[in-house]
Amino acid sequence: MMIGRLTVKKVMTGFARSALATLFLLTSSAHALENEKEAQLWLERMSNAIKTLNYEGTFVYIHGKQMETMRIIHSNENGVERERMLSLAGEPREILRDNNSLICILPDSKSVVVEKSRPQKYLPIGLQNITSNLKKYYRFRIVDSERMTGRDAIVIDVHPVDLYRYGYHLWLDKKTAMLLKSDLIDSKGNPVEQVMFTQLDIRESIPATELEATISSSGYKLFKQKREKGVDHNSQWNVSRLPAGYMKGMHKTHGIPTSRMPVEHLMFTDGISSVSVYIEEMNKDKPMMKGFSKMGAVNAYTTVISSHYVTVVGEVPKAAVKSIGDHVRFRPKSK
Amino acid sequence: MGDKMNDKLNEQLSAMFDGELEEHEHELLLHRLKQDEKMQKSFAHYQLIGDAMRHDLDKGATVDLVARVSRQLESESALTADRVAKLPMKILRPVAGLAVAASVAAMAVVGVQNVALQDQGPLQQSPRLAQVAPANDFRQVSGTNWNRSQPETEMRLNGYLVNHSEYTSGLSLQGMINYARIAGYDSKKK
Repeated sequence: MMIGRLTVKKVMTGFARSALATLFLLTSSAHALENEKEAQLWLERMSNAIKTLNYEGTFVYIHGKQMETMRIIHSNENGVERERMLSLAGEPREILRDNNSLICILPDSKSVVVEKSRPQKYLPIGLQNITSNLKKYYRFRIVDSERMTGRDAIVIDVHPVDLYRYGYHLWLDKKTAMLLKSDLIDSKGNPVEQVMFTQLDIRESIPATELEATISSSGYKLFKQKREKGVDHNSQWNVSRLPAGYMKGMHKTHGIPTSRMPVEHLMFTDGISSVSVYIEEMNKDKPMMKGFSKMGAVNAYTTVISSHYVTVVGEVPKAAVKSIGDHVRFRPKSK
Repeated sequence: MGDKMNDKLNEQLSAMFDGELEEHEHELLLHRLKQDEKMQKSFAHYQLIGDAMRHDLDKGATVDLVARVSRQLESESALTADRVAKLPMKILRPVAGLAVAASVAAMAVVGVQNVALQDQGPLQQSPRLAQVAPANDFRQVSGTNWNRSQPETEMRLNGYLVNHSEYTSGLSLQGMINYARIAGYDSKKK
């Protein structure tokens, strides 16, 4: 009997052990899943916070060896967003933005530039709505808790699954989910670009006077250009294969001041990263260098196809511009 | 119309605004302009530069380029040698310090400058140009941030990037950065 009991006990212990191990595995993967879900919720909240909160703050933008310092004032009253930005170093450039337009006051060139806001439908989905597509190509993780901009922050890692997109490290205010710091990360884990609030006040409301331009623009030149239309449905150009997760966001032809002829433009996005392809006729007098170019986090790749310059450009790694550039196809119209 | 033809016309257009076009060429060009819509657009662009430099853009007025050109073409008096010759070379003074990289603003302003610049030929070969626009200013407009040095390439890449950014600025993560580039101080300025 004793032996039998022992055996039963032994068996039970073994069973309990493996059950415990299984349970542990289950909980840790459940935990990872929980973490990922929570990270996504935070990002959605952040995306919302940037748009809906009333705030005033100062942030630095670090890009390569350059650092720029800016003041931002943002309000949202009954869904109407208004924003004012002012550069704090050098010439006091000012930007006023609302739902309809973007106004830039540039004292160094004594000009005012007015642009209509882009139609929303062209914009990538972004983080306000983390789709299943985004989940496939990025891992979202809460990695830490830290103090940032004098606030308790949660640190989120957005990690790409392949070499076709950059990653992000984001610091979010625990109270409001407002973005406090954002690092764009390359495949080696190095930050390529950083934006960081050095001071941030989240307020109940922002008086309208604080959203008005402080730079007098009287006597300045005004540039106000009409938006071009025209999606090209009969295009002879397409991209035969895209890196996984990228989808066509837009296809149209427009005039670009630095190019003489209208340029055909295709844009692709995975929801976070986006890449544009520009196609213009070759011009022997104004040659363009083939191959790769780079500026900070931006990569560009130029090839020649059927007497056209084809340039892929975007805030994406080199692998992405190369892959897209190598799959651009020209299909002459059949007559 | 072939590329070569277009280039020639563009050059003539540019020459006309610099007051360097022969009288008979002048007339020929006007004739061409009336028939060619693409050319009219180019023309409108030069016209805009001129207007901007003379500060005579109506505040609050929308610049409908093509309509303007049509009106201009109806009254050729607008193209008298006087008007043409008055166009100051100051238009070549770049928007110093503007972070060309990624801005809606930069596209409009720098675009105007680039059109002016690209038609002047190599900078060092024009003494008049050198006087008002030192070579380093040209670089600022073209953007020296690219890791390549060919000005034509840089100029076009800048144009593309500015355009691209317009379409991606709605993405919350990059939105702030894009606007930062517009408003930001470009340390290369010094």
